[in-house]
Amino acid sequence: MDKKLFDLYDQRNAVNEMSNGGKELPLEEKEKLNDFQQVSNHLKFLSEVSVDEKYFVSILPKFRERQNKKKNSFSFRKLVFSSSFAYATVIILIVLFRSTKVNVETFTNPAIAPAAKSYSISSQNSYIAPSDEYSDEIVNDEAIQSTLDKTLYASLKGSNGNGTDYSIIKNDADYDKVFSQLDDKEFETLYAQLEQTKIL
Amino acid sequence: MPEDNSDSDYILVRRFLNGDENSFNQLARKYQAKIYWHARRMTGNHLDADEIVQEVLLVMYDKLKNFNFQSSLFTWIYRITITRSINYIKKQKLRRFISFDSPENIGLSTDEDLVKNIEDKEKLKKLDKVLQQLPEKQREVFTLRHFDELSYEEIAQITGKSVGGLKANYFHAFEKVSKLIGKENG
Repeated sequence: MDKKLFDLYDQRNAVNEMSNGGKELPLEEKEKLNDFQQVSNHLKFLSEVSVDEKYFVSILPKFRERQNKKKNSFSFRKLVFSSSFAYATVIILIVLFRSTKVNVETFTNPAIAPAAKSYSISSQNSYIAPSDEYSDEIVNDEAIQSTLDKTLYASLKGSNGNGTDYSIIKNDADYDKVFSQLDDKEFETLYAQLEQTKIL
Repeated sequence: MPEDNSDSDYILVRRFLNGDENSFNQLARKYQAKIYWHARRMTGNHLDADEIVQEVLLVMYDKLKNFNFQSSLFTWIYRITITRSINYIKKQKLRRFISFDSPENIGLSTDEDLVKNIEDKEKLKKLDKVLQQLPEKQREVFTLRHFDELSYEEIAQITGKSVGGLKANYFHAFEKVSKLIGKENG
């Protein structure tokens, strides 16, 4: 696709002329501009749908209802969870736990695998092995797995300092609960860490 | 945005900050469709878009007291909407990674939608499918430019990116969309 011609098309949307600064365009370019217009028309056609206006009417009542719920639950939450950042830690641990599982299965050298796993869990940084440490050989060390499980759940248990047992995280609803406790800053921190580890 | 629009926004915000809840309702009604459709095009489904609309309204309600009209209210709401949409997508991505469910079960589309007509549903499904194949940032720029019909200057204000960068992003997105539509139409 020709960027210059596209820019012209993009401007043309505003001026709606088949010319470039008053100069008549060559036929080939006109055709290309028409192609852009066709794509645009098709998108417009796809986006023109009749909607159930009841939905938009329902937005505000739903919002007010949520707002009331939020107000009521706020004081309770404050009492129960002293630091929501603990949740971020919990999620990092869980994600790292899962990613480590993948890593360990691909380590060539079984001797370094336990160290890598412990490092991953204790420091909350995923161990990224240098390329020469990877191979197709699968290491399935049950002892390592068991140690890892113990470490993980020991970390999860009471990690918020209030004695809340996070080993109760057993399904997606539990995860959702944990997510909902994170504020934007905490979530961004968590996500940035996961991106660094190349997990996401 | 036309001046009278900003003026009426200003009045509504002032009234809301003086305790008039009805003014907030008016603001919400005024912008809810724009918020919804932006979120819908970003996430590709009704339920997620609905969730984002609710989140944006909550943020608006909580943060309007800090809004000082250095930009237009419209820009400010868009900024909240794009941030919420991107965060929501990231959360879903993360959830998919750590979920106990199989990936196919997450974000499973339901019958719940604001489009009831079967033909329209199909159209929207096709559009969602095309847009979901764009990278998030390109999708964002494409949506703001193509569907919300904002100028590059307005998008730059909302996203904090340069006009040149936005034009390049829009070009690449349009190129990709053209190919996808071409494929879809055989």
